[in-house]
Amino acid sequence: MRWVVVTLAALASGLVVGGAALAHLPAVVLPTGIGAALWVLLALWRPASRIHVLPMLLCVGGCVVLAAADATRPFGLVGLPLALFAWDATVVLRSMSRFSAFVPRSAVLRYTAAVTGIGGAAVATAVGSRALPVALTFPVALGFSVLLLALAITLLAAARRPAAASSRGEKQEADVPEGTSAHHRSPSP
Amino acid sequence: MSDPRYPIAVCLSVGIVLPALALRNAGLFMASVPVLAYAAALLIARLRLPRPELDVTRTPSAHRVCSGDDIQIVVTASNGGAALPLVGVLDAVPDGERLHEGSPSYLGPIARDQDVRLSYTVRPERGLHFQKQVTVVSWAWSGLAFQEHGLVCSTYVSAVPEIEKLPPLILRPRRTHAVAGSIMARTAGPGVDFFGCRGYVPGDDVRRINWRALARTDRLVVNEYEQERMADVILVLDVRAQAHVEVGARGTFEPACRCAASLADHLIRSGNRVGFLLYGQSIDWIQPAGGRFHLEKILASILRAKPVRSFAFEDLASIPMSVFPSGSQVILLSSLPNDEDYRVPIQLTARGYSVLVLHLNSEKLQASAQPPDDALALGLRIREMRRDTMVRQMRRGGVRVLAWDTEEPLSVALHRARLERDGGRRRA
Repeated sequence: MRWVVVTLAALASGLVVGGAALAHLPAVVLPTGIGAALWVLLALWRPASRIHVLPMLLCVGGCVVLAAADATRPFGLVGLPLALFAWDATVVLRSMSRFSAFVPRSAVLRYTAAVTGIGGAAVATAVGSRALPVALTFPVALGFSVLLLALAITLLAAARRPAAASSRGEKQEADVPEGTSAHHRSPSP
Repeated sequence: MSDPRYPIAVCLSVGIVLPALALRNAGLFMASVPVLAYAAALLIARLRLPRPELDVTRTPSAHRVCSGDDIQIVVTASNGGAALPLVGVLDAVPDGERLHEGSPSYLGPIARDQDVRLSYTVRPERGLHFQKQVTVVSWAWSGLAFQEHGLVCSTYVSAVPEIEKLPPLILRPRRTHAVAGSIMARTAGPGVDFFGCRGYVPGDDVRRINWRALARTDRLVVNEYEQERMADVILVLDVRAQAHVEVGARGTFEPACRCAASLADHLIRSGNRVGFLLYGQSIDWIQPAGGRFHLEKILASILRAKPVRSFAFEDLASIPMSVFPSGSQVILLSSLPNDEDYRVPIQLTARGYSVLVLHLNSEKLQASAQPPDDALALGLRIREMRRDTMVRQMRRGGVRVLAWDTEEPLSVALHRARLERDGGRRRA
């Protein structure tokens, strides 16, 4: 999962910084460049940190500015979902890393399918409503292909999961020791 | 931890759609589509999020152990509701306990009527450790939403200091009780140690006649032995922060607590009444008494002890001497950090108490923490001279002082003191 975050963050940041540089928009380049660098560093160093929301907002803001201009629209349209999903993967990673270093493969597959579904629905909506010009369909589709590729890396990250599960299974078979126990039943809805 | 994604996605959607409407910009409209789709997906996932109906039980293998011993803790989570696609169960290890083996967490699916059992081993430090709740996080099928619950499941583990087996202590209180015990009572009677001789009176046991004295003086003389009786012993543990040294993971505080627990155990087992005063964080006073229950009370007080800096107890002068039974034996565990601290044991002696100061030395500990240099050697030498002066003053005032290096077991220090005393007697 960590490498998904790093890949998506780097791609989104590269797109927004590159697009802003091509369009000669220094007001966008500087904050988004700093935010992007910070994001990639954070993702590498501390993927479960709460502070990722700041560079994500910087990156999304840069993408929105790029999408508003005709010349740089592809950069903004591709960079924005990438930034959004990289942050989403960060939140998922952060919530799950408290419990286990390895995320279950089935959960990763379901998550990938859900995120791909959202992206696909967004592209289909844009194309179907003719809001997206034909010239932009190719870069947007390319962006989502890259997104899929990056999410597939999570499967590699989760590949060690079965070994960890079997060792846990051995522990679970241990006898219950003697002693009193505390007990709680969660309330029914 | 709550899920921050939905509010941020909604804010982003509004933040993009409103400028797009205001500016009538097609690019901004297109940019808002994925964000809106993302917010909608999060909303649907939140609405369809299953609520876990878990039955959680935590079972520690023991509730009372010595600090440093292992405790196995088993947490069982039974799912009595619908199948959960992805659940995280986390039993947080409290501060003061160290995870030794196993894992206190689980991440994976739980089917209906399935049990998940976590087994892990912790090594608690001295103290009372509570585990209040088990954290359960349930994710939606897609992973796009999650919800955290804290299931109350309180258990406790008390880790008492390790109790050391000590050699017999030589204590000389000025007053003893009428009940037989292990303390020399300074009066003649049934006992083992020689006390003196007196003239024979009819009714004396013939076996106690001193035949050598009869041969020498031609008078019947009988030997007398010193009575052994029960006494009141007051243990004073100095927990002022300035009285203790901490070097990395080692320090003088934990050995001092271990020493207090070992002395309390030894004295109560010997049949004495033991009082306990925890001096420094407040005046935590336990009246002298005997028995196992009383020992547990003292151990519970030691469990709560922690080094505290308090202006009210800056020096030892606030020791409540009036609560100590008159003529009792006082054992003070302290490093006497202030210049005026050595006066308090002398005052206690002047008031009729018999005082033994177990002086906590930390020179070896401090010397081992730093590379040897001239400044350190000089500093330690000055401290040593100050300590020697204080010890001399106290001995002059009738106080017994035993220097104890906290890096070695207390039994070794007591044994060495006994050997030195016996050697001194033989030389005399």
